[in-house]
Amino acid sequence: MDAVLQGFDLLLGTPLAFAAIAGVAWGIFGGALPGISPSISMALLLPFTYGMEPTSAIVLLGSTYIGAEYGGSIPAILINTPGTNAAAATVLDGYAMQRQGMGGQALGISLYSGVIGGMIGLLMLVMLTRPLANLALAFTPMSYFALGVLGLSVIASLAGASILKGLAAGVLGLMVATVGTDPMSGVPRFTFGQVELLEGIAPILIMVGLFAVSELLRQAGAPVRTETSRDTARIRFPGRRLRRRLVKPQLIGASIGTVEGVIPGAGGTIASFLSYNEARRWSRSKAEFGRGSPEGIAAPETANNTVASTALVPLLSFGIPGSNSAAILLGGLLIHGLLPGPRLFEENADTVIGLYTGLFVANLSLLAIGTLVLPVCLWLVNRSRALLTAFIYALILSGIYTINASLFDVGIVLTAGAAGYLMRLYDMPLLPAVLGVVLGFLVESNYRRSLVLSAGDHAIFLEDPIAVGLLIVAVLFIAGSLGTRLWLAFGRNRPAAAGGGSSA
Amino acid sequence: MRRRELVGAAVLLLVAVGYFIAAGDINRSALGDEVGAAGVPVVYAATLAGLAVALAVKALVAWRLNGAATRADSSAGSRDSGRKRARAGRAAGMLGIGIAYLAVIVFAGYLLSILAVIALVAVYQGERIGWRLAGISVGGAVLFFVLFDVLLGIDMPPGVWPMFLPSS
Repeated sequence: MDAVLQGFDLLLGTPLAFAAIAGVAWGIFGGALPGISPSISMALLLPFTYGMEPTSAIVLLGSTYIGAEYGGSIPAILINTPGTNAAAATVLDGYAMQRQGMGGQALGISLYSGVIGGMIGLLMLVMLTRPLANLALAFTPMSYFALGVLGLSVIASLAGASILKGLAAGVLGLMVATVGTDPMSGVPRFTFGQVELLEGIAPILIMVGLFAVSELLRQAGAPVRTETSRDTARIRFPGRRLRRRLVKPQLIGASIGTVEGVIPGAGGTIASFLSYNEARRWSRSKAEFGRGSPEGIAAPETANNTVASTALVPLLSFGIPGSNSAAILLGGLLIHGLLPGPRLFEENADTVIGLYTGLFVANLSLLAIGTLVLPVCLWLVNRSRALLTAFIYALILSGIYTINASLFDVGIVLTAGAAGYLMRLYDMPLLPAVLGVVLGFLVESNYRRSLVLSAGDHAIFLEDPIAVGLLIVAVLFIAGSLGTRLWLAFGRNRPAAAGGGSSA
Repeated sequence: MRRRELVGAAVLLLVAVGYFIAAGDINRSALGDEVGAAGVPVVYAATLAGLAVALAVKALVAWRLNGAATRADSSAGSRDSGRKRARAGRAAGMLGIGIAYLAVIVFAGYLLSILAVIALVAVYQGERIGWRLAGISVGGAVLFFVLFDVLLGIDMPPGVWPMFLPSS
C-alpha cells in the first residue's frame, strides 16, 4: 500500500506522467515506421535522457518500448507491412480484416489486447522481480562473475543461424569493454594515446552505432519499399460479445508472453507466433484464422505487449538484458549510475516504484494516445522514406554530440555503425556484441577480484554455492540451446532422408 | 557466399592478431594482480582467433561439399554479388556523409553542417532536388538547432563564423 501511495506521490511530484505519455507516443511513431524497431526508437531517445531526472528517463525509455510494440501493428494491419518483428503475426489476420473493410476494428482489437497484455505483464514484473533480485543480496565477486557468465550464455540462444558467429560477436563486445583504464591496476589499455578513451567506450555509443546507424546504412543499400494507405481508419473498440470471445486468446497470449519474457533471449516475436498458433489450436473457429479472425490479432498482440513488461524481469533482477530493447534500457539505467540487482531496490526504491507507476500510466495511456496519434501515424507511414532517413541520421549525429559535447563520440558511433553493417553483411548477430560490451567489465573485474581473494586458485569459483548454481544454469542454458539446434537440424533432415529426395 | 564466409573469418583473425599485438604493449603495473592488465585481453584474442579459424574451416568444408552446385550457379552468383557490391557501395556513401559531417562541422558550424546532412541524405535516398527539399532542410536544421542549442542548452559547434563577428 505504501508503495502505491509512493507511486502516486512520484506521479504528481515529478514529470513522470509526461515521460510515460511522451514515451508511448514516440514509441507508437517508431513502431509504426517499418525499419525502425522498438530498440532503435529507444536508442534515438538515449542521448536526450542524459539531462533528465533518472526515474523520468527510465520511464520514458520503458514507455517507448510499450508504445512501439503496439505501433508495430498499425502498418501490419493497414499496409500489410509489420512495423516490428513481433507484429509479423498480426499481419495474417489484421490485413485480412483491413481488406474486408474492418481495419478500424482490427486496430481496436490490437490496441485493446495490447493494453490487457501490458497490464498483465506489469503485474508479473512487480510480482517476480523483487524476489529474484533479493537472491543477489548474498552475491560475492565469484557470484557476480558467474552471473556475468550466465548473462553471456544467453548468446547461445541469440546467436541466430551460427553459434560460432554469435560467440565471435560476443568476444568482439568483450574486447571493446577492455578499452580504457584497467579495473585493477589503473593502467591504460587500448587507448592509443587518446585521452577520450581513458574512461572506456560508453555502451550507449556502441548500441546506437550497432542498432541505429547500421540499420540506416542497410536501408541506404536496400531502400525499404512499403505500400501506402489512403485509408482514414478510425479505431473501433470491440463490443461486449467480441470482448468475451477474445478472453481465451488474450489469456493464451499473456501466459506465453510471461514465460517468454522472463527467459532471456526468447523475445516478443517468438511469443507472438507461439500465441497465434495456440490461439488457433484452441479456437472454435479455426477456419477463420488467416482470413480475418479477431482472435488471430488478439493473441499475438497480447503476447508481445506482455513481453514488453516481463522482459524487464531478468534485466532488473540480475542486469541481464534478454533483448535489444532491454539492452537499451540497461544503457539508460547505467547512464544514470543505476545498477540493476538487489541494490537497485534498496538504494533506488523511488526509481523502481517510479518505473512501475510510469509503466502503469504508459499502458493505460496507450488507449488514449493510440487513438489520438493514429492519423499522425498514417501520415508518417505515407511520408517519403528518404526524408525520414535524413531526419533520423541528423538526429543521431546531433544527439550523440550532446552527451559529452564530443565529436570523438560521434566518430565512435559512426565506426560502430560501419562495424555493425559489416556484421550484418556477414550474418553476425548484433546483440551478443552488445552483451559483451555491457557485461565485459562485470566479468573481468569480478574474475580478477576473486583470484586476488584466493591467491590465484580457480577452485574458489566452485566453493561459492551461488556461483556454482549460476554456472550450472549457464551450462544448462548453453546445452539447452545447442540441444534445440541439434534437434531442429535432425528434425529438418529426417523427412528429407525419409522422403528419399522427393523434393528433387 | 563461401568467399564472404572466408573473408569474414579472415577479418576476424586479423582483428584477433591486431588486438593480441596491442595487448602486448600494455604496461605492467607494480599494483597489478596476478592475471595482469593484459591477461584477460590475451584470452579474448586467443578465443576470437580460434573462432575465426573454426569459421574458416566450416566455410571451406561447406565449399568442398557444395562445390559442384556452386559452380553451376556461378552466373546467378556473380549477378547476386554484383548487387551486393552495389548495396555496400551505397551504404559506404551514406557513411561517407557522416564522416564528411565530422570533417566540416568544426569549420562550417552545426547549423550549416546539419542542414547539409539532411539535404544530402534525402537526395542520396532519392528525394528530388527542389525548393520543397530546400525548405524542409532549412526548417529541419533550424528545428534541430533550436532543440539542442536553445532549449537543451548544449553548445553546438559554432564553426569559424564567430571570428567574423565584431567583438563586443
